[in-house]
Amino acid sequence: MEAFWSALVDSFTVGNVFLSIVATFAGIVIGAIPGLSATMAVAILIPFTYKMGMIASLAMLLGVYCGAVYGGSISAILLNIPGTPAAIMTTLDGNPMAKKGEGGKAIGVSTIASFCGGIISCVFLIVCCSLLALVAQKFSYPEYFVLAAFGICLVADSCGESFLKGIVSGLIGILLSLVGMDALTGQQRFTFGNPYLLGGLGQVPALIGLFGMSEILNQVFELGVSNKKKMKVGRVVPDKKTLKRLVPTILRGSLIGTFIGALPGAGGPVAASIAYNTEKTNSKDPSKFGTGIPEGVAAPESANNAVTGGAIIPMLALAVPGDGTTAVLMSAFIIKGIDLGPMIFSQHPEVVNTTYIFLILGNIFMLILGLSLARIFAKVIEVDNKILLPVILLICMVGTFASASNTFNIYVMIFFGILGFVMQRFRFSLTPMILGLVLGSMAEENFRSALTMSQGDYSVFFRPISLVFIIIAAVILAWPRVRRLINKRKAGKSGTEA
Amino acid sequence: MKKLLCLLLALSLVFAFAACGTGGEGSSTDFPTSPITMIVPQDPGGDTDLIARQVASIVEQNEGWTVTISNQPGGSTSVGLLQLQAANPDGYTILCNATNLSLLKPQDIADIDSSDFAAIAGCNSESCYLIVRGDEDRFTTMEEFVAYAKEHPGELNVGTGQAGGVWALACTAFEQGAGIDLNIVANAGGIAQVGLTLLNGDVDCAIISLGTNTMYVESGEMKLLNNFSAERTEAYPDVPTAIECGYDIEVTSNRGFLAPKDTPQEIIDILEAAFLKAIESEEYQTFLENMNSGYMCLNAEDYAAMMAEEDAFYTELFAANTEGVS
Repeated sequence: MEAFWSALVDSFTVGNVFLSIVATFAGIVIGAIPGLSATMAVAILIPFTYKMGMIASLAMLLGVYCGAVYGGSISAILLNIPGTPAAIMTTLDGNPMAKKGEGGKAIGVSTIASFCGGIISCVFLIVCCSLLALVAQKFSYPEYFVLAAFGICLVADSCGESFLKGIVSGLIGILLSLVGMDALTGQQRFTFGNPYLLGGLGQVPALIGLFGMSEILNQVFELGVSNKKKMKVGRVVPDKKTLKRLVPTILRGSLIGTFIGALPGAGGPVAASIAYNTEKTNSKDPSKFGTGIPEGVAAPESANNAVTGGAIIPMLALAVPGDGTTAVLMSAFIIKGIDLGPMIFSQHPEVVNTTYIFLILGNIFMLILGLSLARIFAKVIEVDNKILLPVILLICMVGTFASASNTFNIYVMIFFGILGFVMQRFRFSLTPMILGLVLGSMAEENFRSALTMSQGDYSVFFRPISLVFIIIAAVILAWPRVRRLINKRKAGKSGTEA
Repeated sequence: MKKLLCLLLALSLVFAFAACGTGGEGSSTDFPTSPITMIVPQDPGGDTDLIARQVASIVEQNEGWTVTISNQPGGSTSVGLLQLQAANPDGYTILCNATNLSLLKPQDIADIDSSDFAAIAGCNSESCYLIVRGDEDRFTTMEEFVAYAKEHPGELNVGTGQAGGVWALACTAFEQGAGIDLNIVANAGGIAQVGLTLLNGDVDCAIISLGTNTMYVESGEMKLLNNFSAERTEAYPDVPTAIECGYDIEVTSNRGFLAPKDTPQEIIDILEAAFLKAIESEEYQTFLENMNSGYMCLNAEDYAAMMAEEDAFYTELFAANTEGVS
């Protein structure tokens, strides 16, 4: 405890706190711009940390991290374009809420959920870092496969109107995830001799294309039709009743996010999708999801911000990054010569404590900034579509280019834009496709690695930890269906009696 | 309010454009007169990226130049290399290269090798080791390992980096050189994750560079049986090399800097001098120590020779091992 207080005193200088605030704000803005992600933001800032002290570096990087993960939800809600991959699921209910005039409320829910997710994951980080790291350490190929497969099964519940169309959409996503050089054999699949496709279809251009570009195409088609419908922003901080109702959702989302963040192989998008779909599958009225309800925003947002604290657990305790952004964050420690791994707790307790402090502060500033600036952000949607759409299109293109500095990605983005537009015209839901794209390679690689490792023995998927997850997944998937069956029986009985 | 919004939107556009700007042009005698762009053909935060940034920062300090990093990941470094090939040979575009270059042609990824570029300097040599768990009792030396592998062909799981990468090829080279049959389990996640699978028991051994796994060696949870470089490393003088054990295997992952092929010699000389000074600096050496990565300092000629050797080595390895790809 003493070490914590002394670290607090050392870090709590005016300069560092100010840096944290500025960094969090910058993070929010960067996260809100589609194409610029938390990972990019941290990567750009790492060189600046060469000349800065460890404390200041942590203040800056952690602030940007928290801010950016949250910032993605702002454009997801207002523009239906996720600012970061982790905000994909937020578009599903966030944007309908904005269209209903509840944009401010959606941002408010997102801010509070993100804050809670971040803080709860910090609590887990501080209290049981080593314990969780031990579990994360045991996670290997079979376990990751079960997790990814579970995520894909949840696709079945996010199909929109037609179950069949949803499956097709998901399969298209999985098919597209196969593009690239196979990580296990080195064989090139669907690359057509193009070296730019060796790494697969990039997640960022796919995202921007599917959501940004296709949405713009949608709106362009409807531009002449209904024009100046002014979207009201409404009040930002949700009322007490709503907040109370959201508590279980936020708690569940935070737990899911912390845990998935702690797993080295999975991050924000996986956590958000599992949280959203778990919430939907288990709610009393799943059909409401997607029409614009606060739960649909609270679940993914609490999960993706819980990943921030969760991902730092393996980074500190095992020297293995918990997600893409922590991988870059690690370099800040390496550059300063600080060894990550279990020894860091005894060798550099001040660095560990400073990390805790600025992660917590980052979340607090994110809450304050988010709530106070929500109105201003929301005003963006009041700009006339004729001006807004071209600007967004341009930002999308620039964002895609900025994410990898080559023009090929822009073609990928356009491909996905047209694909998404066509699919939506034929009333295929896009969510299963993006889930297939994100989870497909995770499921496939881990499945094959697991079988390679077990030399063809399928029972490897039923070893203890893996089995536990299969059971959890089965329960989460089966329970609502069982419940409905029971309810039907009950209704049937009382029907025949009456 | 609307005007302010439009202004903000315009500003955000400007910011977004600035985020993707790159360096420029200039004459050759007063080189450099404008910022130099260094392409890093790997993701930010990765080892190549960190090393490139560190060297670039030291060069900036020493020479007063501006060196901007441009990450162009993809295609096992081929995307960045192709960009370098297409760039103006005026010295304003350079690249931080890794041994992956020698693997491109043999694997039909891209039709380039070291002869398509001009070398500037070599800065890093990463060794890989045969690593087993500390409490492994089936084999405690390289000889015992090879003997066990011969008695149980195809049974031992060896964890390594991703397929088509240098460490996976080291596994193949080891199999060929020692005449054994291992079950290669490639991992796209990074050597830290491979280390975890070794500790878990999911693989019986690993052939990778150490990186953050060094702490496990120090604690005794992991043990090094063999070193696949030409000589014993300073950090682990007790670990024999494969060559000492009688196997003609030498695999290292080397990094250095390249420029487009037709860059004028005076400019290459200026770059070489600046980069060698940075690589020889104590700051850089300490940095590599922190990263648990091997130091190397080669001038342009020696680095070019090293790369040519690697090209030949991997071409031969692939030719002899065609069944590995199917």
